[in-house]
Amino acid sequence: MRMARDIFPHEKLHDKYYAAVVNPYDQKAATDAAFKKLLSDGVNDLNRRSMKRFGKTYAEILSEGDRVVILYDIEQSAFFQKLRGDLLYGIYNNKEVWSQFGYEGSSWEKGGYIERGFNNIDWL
Amino acid sequence: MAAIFDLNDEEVVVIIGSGAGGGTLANELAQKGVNKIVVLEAGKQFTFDDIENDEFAMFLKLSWLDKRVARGAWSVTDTGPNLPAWIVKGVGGSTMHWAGVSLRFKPYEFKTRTTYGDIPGANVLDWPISYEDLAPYYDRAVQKMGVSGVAGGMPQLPESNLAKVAIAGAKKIGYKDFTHPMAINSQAYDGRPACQVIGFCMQGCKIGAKWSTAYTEIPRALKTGRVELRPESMVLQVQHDKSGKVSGVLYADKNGNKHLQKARLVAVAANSIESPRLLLNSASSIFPNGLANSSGQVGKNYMAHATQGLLSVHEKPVNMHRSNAVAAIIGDEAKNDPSRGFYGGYYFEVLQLGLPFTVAFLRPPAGWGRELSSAAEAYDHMTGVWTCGEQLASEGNRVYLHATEKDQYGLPVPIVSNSDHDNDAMLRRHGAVQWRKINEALGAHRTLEMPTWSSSHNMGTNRMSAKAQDGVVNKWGQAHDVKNLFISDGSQFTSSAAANPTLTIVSLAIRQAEYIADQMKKGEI
Ligand SMILES: Cc1cc2nc3c(=O)[nH]c(=O)nc-3n(C[C@H](O)[C@H](O)[C@H](O)COP(=O)(O)OP(=O)(O)OC[C@H]3O[C@@H](n4cnc5c(N)ncnc54)[C@H](O)[C@@H]3O)c2cc1C
Ligand code: SF4
Repeated sequence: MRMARDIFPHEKLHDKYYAAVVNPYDQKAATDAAFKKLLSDGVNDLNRRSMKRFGKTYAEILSEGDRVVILYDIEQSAFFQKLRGDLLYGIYNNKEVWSQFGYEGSSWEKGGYIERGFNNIDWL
Repeated sequence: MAAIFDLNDEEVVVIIGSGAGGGTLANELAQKGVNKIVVLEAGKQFTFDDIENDEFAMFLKLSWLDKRVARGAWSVTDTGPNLPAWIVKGVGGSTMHWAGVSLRFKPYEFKTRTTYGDIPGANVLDWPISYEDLAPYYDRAVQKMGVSGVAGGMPQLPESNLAKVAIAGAKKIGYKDFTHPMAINSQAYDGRPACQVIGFCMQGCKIGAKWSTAYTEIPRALKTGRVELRPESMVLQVQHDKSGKVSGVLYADKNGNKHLQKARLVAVAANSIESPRLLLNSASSIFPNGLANSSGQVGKNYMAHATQGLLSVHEKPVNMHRSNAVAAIIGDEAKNDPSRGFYGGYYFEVLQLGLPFTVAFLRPPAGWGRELSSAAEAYDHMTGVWTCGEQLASEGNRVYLHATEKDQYGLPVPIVSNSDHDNDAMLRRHGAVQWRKINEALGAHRTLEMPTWSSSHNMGTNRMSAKAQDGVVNKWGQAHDVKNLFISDGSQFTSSAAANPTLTIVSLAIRQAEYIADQMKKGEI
């Protein structure tokens, strides 16, 4: 969870959006041995590196800057890339969060923007 | 009434691909009374009900996702190692995804070799036709497609917020050319409604305000009763008789069953990767290096345009998504002015993307962290652009066959190898610097550069040439080596020009249809 928030940090986004990506992992790991190994090896490696460098597990490291240093070390790993890819899709392609970024999504059912502010800019 | 023609009918005219080139050619020939036309299209038929305002969903639904391989120095080896091109597999081809930019080539862009001279490391050649030869067909394409924002067409589309910001910045640094030619209806035209600024042009226009062969040329062609469309029909090979004339095509239907359609004439319009691949896969004892490839130029001179995606963050909201995809075009740099350090020119195509694509395209597939998330948080304050400039032809940039890897039909997959010529890199850089200036003139404080993604413009791999040894087809798109074989898509292009390709593909198809109909009447083919 901590790692998920560090990969795409948005203070304004509720935990539940990150959880929606990460929580199904437990279920998947229960039936998929290779996936389970990817996860557990990844988490172990993350914590091993954190202990070595800062004497704490990853989640216990207080400073984001310190945590990101560890993430840089593992960013090429399959574990990191799996989580990053799922988060990218799970967060930015989640219709529920779009409004928090000012994106309005599907518009044809509302008749497009021709009557809804496509040329309402007032600061030029 | 849609017609049905027999597989053994030797009078059939086969068109491979139903996109900008193939769809237009089919309709033009049918309108001229040419009978027995079979259009073979690898993809499915989509309807307006299939169109969603959702970037990823439509990408997955429409795109050509069969495995292809990217090589060379371009960043697509990272961003799309198995997806060198972003094109469509479906009736209508890439005119489903396209944004509608309908710029003409400039006269000098047909004469690049004469204008630029011999550029080391490039393989630049003049077209065998001039701007004046094509001009009347450009006029007809403008009417056919319904282009707004040009003389003889419809009024320009209204300016969106994104357009206004970009144009205001551009004026501050002295730019003046804001012509915005788009094959999008600014008013009801040709049975299609005016644009409602839905904002998902590149996901397929839900109301058909944007021209696509899928709902204009193809249904009209079918209505003549002289054309049969066979979707989900992937052509594997073009066959020929003992004299070396094309005699039919082998294709696989959606169940993988193979059929041989006999033909009097074959026109290939499968876009610039699959078209040369098909010719290479059609090698035989008479054509050992691939059909129509005595020059060795089939697949060579691949051009994707020298492009650069950029996003700038402004202090106040822009809401770029409330705009048609290409909101404005700035044309001042589309000229040949070697004092800038490179030959040829480029356009600023002011572009909006939705949040999902903005984030996905912003960084190579590995991107993460504050740099990316802080940009995402500025989404509604952003302006976007895609600079589109001439890429020089060079022989090393090419489509060729994989030595070992085969696709689902057992045929070698194509490899697309592309690297910047120094000229391409300089041109791209110039655009990035100028875009930053445009936005900083309005107080933008951050500009982000995107890597190059899978190419939506693909050209040059069966190029036109005056001499047979320099290219693959003559000035009519007719193969130098095979009289009844035509190329009808962007692979005919001798130069890429700065302009987007589709208007030129359509104009060439209209012109080619006249020639084919005439030659058939005279019994020449
Ligand atoms: C997102 C996006 C935006 C674009 N915006 C613009 C724009 O604003 N302006 C512009 O000018 N251009 C634009 N383009 C490019 C434009 O769409 C293409 O240049 C144009 O459609 C190419 O026409 P074509 O006939 O060569 O190929 P396509 O339109 O791609 O058609 C080729 C067809 O052949 C079929 N095919 C391929 N192989 C086979 C086979 N072996 N057997 C049977 N069928 C086959 C394919 O399924 C496809 O339907 C854009 C493209 C994309 C993807
Ligand atoms: S902006 Fe216009 S052309 Fe684009 S999808 Fe919407 S209605 Fe169609």
